[in-house]
Amino acid sequence: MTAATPIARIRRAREIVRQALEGWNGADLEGANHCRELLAEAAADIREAAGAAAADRLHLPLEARRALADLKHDTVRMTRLVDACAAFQRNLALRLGHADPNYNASGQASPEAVSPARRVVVDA
Amino acid sequence: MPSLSASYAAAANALSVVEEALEVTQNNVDNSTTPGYARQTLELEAQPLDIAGGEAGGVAAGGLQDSRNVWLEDQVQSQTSLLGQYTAQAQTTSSIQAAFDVTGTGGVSAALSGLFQDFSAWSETPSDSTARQNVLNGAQNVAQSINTLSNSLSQSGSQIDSNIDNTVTQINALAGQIQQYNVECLDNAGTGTDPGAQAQLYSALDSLSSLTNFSAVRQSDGTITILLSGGSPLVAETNQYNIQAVPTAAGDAILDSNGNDITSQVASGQLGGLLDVRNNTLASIVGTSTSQGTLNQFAQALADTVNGILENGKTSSDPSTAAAGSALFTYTPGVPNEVASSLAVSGIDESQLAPVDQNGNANGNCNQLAALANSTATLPSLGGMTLTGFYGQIAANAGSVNQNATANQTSQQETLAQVQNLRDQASGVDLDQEAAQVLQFQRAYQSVAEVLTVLNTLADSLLTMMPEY
Repeated sequence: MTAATPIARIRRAREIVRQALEGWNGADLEGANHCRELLAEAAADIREAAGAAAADRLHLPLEARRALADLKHDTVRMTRLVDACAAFQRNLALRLGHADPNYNASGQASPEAVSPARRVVVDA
Repeated sequence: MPSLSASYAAAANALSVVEEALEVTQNNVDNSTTPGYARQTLELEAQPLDIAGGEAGGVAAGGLQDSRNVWLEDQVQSQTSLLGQYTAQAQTTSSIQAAFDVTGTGGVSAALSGLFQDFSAWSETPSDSTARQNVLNGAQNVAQSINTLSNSLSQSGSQIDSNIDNTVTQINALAGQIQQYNVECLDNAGTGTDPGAQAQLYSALDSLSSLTNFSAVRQSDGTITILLSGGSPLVAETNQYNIQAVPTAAGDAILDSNGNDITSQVASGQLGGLLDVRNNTLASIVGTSTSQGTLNQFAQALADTVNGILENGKTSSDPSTAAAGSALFTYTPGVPNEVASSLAVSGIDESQLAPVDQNGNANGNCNQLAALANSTATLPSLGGMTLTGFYGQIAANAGSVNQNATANQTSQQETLAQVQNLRDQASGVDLDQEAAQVLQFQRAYQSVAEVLTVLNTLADSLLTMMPEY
């Protein structure tokens, strides 16, 4: 079996990201986890492509640059969707009386900081 | 012990309640496509059962329960406001972008290129009257193409002004509907729970959210208070506070009912998008009474540079017939933001053109003018850019703004659909039940976001390995 070439990996990663973007539904927990798995596959492909390109000093064609640019474009679109969903759930958590999670310097929430303590929220 | 007739009555009442519940369900089905309508459920209340005391029990209809959650609606409305903003930006910047000919075969860039060629041809035969006349014609083409572009952009501005006026009218009309709801709410206590009145109210709020950003606060008396983000009221109890759009030195402004400038409070929605394009994007090109704008800056740099070269030269190498050179371009002096619209070729004839430079070189001025096409001919008045480069940047910026606005619009449509999904998932569900899932969702999103960050970083690394073509 022949190992996939860097350009083939880039193309595959781009298709996977597109698939994840089109299938994203923030209201579907299982779907979100499936998207994460797809994106992890795409990341592995890009990592392999980068490794092979660096090791062999490959001159990747313009098509590869375009595929990567498309991939980045879809990644940005998806990041915005995920951010919007995260903002919604974060606000919902506050609404339901959970304390706002603590965020570290990378902007990631530490789950243990989410307090189960309830507080009264008056309907606006 | 309850009597037999009391038991019959309880059973009959139960049937009546079931019938009422079916009517509520039928009403939900009938209104499934009614804007602003939310599913209603009939609350059922158990009646006291006291056999010894003669209470027959049974069930009675309670009040109608609205499945709508104000907070969830608010989340969707804020995303709708953003979509309204991006849509307005995409549409209006599209007309601005269209005013620029990016093909290079027409418009300002082609005319400018033609003028440079005319200068170059003139430098080869500085005394030739045809070459001189071609320079005048080329200058005329440049002036007219800049006038045309300025007029097109001015028309775009007028169209945006008109759209702003219309949007303000729509906002005031919707505020009027909400004010009317408040009047009915105070006159009739049932209005606050009437599904029809609620549907109309939320339909008006949804429409308003696409036009501007606001917050809606339900008061204890059931009325809705509508505030812009800075706190200026649009509706409070039975009072409506109309806003208005007025032209100012810096662009268009929005005033509250007391005449205060509240433009900065209108950050999103269609009105926010229109104001942004009018006061920022377009103003940066065509200027205002307090700023020149890049198109006027370009036109003035062109005119001043060409005029400066010609006015320092002479019309002939023969001292007996030589006269001082004259300006090729004119524009209205003292009005920096009207240079592009007033740019014209001065009334000189071809004999008044000055090919001889101040050192007496027969075609020195022609060469200097032709050299303006070179990439090294940078001008301090254009921030160190060439005429061609500066104009290209204006056109490219207009295209870039439109491209970004269109991308934002597409992306926001997706985001709004996601938030509507989340709203629909949470709507009608006991939010206490929802609480258990929130943390799971947050973790799932966070892990997706982490993988996206990794993917983006890896893609960037790979891109840096690739040579630019």
